[in-house]
Amino acid sequence: MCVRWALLVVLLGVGCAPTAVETARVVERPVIVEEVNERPMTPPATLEEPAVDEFDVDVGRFDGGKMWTFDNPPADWLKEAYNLDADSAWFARARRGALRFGSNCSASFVSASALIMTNHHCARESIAEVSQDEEDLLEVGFYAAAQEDERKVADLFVEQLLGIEDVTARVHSASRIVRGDDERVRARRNKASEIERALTSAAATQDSSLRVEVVELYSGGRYAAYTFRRYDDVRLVMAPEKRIGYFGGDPDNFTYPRYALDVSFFRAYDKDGLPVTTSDYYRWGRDGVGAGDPVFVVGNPGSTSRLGTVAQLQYERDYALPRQIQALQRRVAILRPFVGFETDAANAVENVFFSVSNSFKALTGQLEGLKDDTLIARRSAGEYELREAIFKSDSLSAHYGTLFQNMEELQLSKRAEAQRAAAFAFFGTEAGSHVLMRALYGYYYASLQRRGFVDEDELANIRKEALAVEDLPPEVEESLVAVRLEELREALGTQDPTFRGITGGLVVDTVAAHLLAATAVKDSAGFAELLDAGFLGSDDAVVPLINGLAPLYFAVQQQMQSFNSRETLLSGRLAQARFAIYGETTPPDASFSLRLADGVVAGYSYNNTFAPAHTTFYGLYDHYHAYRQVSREWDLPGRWLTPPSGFDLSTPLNLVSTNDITGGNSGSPLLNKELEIVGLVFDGNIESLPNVYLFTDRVARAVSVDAQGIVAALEHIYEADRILAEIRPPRD
Amino acid sequence: MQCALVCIVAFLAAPFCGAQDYERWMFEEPPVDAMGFAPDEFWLENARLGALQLSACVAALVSADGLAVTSASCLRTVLDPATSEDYAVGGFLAAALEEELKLSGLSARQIAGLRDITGLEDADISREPDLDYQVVPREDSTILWEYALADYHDVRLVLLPEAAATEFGAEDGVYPRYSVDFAFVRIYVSEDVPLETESYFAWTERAALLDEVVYQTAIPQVAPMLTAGPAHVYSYNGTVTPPFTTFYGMLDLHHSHGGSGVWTLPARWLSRMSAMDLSSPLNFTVAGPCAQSGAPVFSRDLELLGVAFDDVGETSCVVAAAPGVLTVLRNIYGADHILQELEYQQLSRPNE
Repeated sequence: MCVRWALLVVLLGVGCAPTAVETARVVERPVIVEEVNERPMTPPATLEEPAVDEFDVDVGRFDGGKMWTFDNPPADWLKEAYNLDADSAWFARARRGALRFGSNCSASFVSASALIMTNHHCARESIAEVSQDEEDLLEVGFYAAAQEDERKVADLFVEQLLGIEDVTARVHSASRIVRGDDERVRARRNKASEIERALTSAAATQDSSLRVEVVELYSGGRYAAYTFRRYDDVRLVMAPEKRIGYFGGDPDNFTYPRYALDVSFFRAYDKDGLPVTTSDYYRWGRDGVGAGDPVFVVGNPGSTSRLGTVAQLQYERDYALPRQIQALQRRVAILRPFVGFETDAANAVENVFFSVSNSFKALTGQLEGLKDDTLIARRSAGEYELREAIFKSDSLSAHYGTLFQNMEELQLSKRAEAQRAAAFAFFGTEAGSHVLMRALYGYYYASLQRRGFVDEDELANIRKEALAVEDLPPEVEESLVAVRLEELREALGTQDPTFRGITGGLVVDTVAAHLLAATAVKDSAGFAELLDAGFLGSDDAVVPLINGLAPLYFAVQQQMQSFNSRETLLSGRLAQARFAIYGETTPPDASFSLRLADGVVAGYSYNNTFAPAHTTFYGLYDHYHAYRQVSREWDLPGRWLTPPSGFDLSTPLNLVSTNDITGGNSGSPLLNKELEIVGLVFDGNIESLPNVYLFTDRVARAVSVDAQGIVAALEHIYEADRILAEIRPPRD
Repeated sequence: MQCALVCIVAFLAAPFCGAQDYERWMFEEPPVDAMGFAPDEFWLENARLGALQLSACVAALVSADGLAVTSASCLRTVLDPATSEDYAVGGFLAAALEEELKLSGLSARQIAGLRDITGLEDADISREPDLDYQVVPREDSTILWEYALADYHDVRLVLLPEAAATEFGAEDGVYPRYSVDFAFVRIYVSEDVPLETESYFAWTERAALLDEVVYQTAIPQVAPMLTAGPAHVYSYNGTVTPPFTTFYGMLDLHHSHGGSGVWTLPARWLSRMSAMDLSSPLNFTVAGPCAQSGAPVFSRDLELLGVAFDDVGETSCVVAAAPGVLTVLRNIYGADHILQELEYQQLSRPNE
């Protein structure tokens, strides 16, 4: 889902895809920024202290988070905090068992035969893909009783980080003679790409599965060449039913206490079609962990918003988030009544609903965080510290003195455009009307064809993307079109020429009803025909509408894109200023590269009581029985209804810990001090959502499946003896 | 109003949150429409006579022989500490009628009747000698109401579960909740003679349905009130509360907290729960604050669905569910004599 959104975002230059679709989310690579002319500004003569005294806040040591890199591992901190003597061998073992799973999740090797563990929710597309005729493996689950039953997933790959080489000096050498900050950034990035290509081809001569990526940290303060081994024959070994993997469904998403078996197993194969043999795997913890035990997450967190300015947060709080949330809320209300039916169209609605409601919940939780004045106060205090340090140094002042003013001014410009941008929130994505999404594809495709000099492959790709858009039921479409028109009316006013042009003065509901009655684009076959016959030349009812709307849409997008470019540039400079002052004393922002996050297993205060550090299978059955009147989200698969007598329901099922995680960490192993598997990260609690702006661990928690719960389910419910034999520690 | 606010603020609750809120009436001026139901005189009289004021608590008559149920947490607050030490924590069960334990200093009051005496001369009003009378003016002073009060000074303890079970989790003001918060007493009219009554609530095995409108009777110091509101769920913690909790959840908390602290179940419970239907409803919530602790929660058919015992803010009342009480009587205490009395109205008398 998010993958497709991201592609369309890149394709159309839309800057407004829903973020944080799930704990795992697509991370867009940094945009190479066009040069933006800096308006001359005078640095402030004095610094005004922020008015935050009333909140009595202190800047925390880890406000920026604890996502440590393996380039600069936190040996001293681990000694200080946990009395753990983590030497280079410890960090190497921690690093080598971890995997990037596909393009948006984390995973790990858990056996010498390259058994891979990740989340069920990371495996959904794979499970659906290997389902054969008449099979619905998401519904019934899958277990390969013998090795030959393991099913290869096309296009799935995992990557293991083999080595890290510091190439900062080489990259920086390229910029030594270049004048101007922006030119310097560009020179460094060019050099980084050059090194990446050279190292990759050198590595590939030894082993074609090796690939080198030069990772930029601290916005260019540091560069490292990461060598990955890519395994591109990955086969599904075991996946439980979606009902237990996603137990509690959308309502329980981002919550704890929780009772989900969000796990799946795969295996990496070599070129000869044999299971890979590896010593780089985590052993399974013999004992569980309890409250107070230190635990470590190794995974690939995507990104956070912890290092921006307060002005950016205020824009998010007052403009961006409220508008996005309103748009999502309206779509949730439209989609919800169509969820839960067993038809193809209902499945398509359900997929969209899941993403939309997930984003709604995530953004709502983030907004709650921003409305907490102490969060803003703490960020203001941190910003003041940084500004003071810049102010005290003549050279830093000369470089970065106007940075904060520039950023604030940019936010003011964005405010002016926010209303028009809101009218197009999620336009052309699967979260909106699929008829309008197809129409936008059709418009774009036809425009490129008319230009005449477009790459055939690119056109073919766009066509493929366009035809992959799924049908939604016409009544859902009608409501989605109507709500979009209503949003345009709110933003533009009824007298706006564009609005009048597309509605012809009729009320939006009528326009939507007429459109759905007339257009062939509501049906995938009809759309394919139109696309190939010349979309804009056709007399389909959607053509005049998109002809009226698209120019405004692209104009708004262009404006927002230019703001985004400038913001990226300013953010880069901000990170450089930060690096100049703090160096590597704090970890760089997450970048979907491998990180280690330390924490402890800990319950927390919630709901006027105390959430325990772990839950048990008893709670699973409590929820199953209790929620049956509410919805099917807490239904259990048939084989779970009568657990065998040997199944101890007091076995831990999920657990919480204070590790710093974010989107991309889904599927990360949770390890004890001995680097044994004690859990599998799959979510954060509702209190952790504001952590995207400021890391705290008072009540914010990472939620994991307890390793003991996984074993109990494999043993008593799935009788997955083959997996158990692989992962269980050898008996002494 | 609270419910409506929750619906607007948190969309997640919207599909689970009915438009109805709770409503309250005085028995003197009963509702024509009690949330979709028109109570008749018989119903109102039963709802009133079936409830007893037990100091600060309410108890509900549940048998023809004066057996009444209330909340354990409320009963504990009105026990004489000098005489209740032994059983207040460890619990108490009278295996037969003669073992029932007189609670010193505790009396029960029933609103035996109420009438409008506005404009009547005192001499014109007939009164019964064994009842007390109390005159209460309407708020706007246009009507004078007179209550006939029957006081019973012999209240005996029948069953009080262990504090570890009735105060499981010590989670005042919290839901989801897993407290076995009920106790049984019996009202006596004279030495060894239980109260005989036709006005009592019929115990039921069934759980309140989600959105079912249920009723509570309160007996505060002055005028009794009738409260109505739906059994409900509401948004909390990023999700939605369960329509009821179960004994599975109680065991979940016992084990997840490591069998220590306020979530510790007595050993007797743990061993006997293995043979129990753990999916039996334990607690549920009703919209609005509790009418009063110990108040009966009943259906429009006067079935007893549970015992109100705690408020969650102003929005919800937590209720010990009737089926859960039966499960505990059956599986933990083996209290067949109470079960029989609830089911068949058969009181096991001495020498019978």
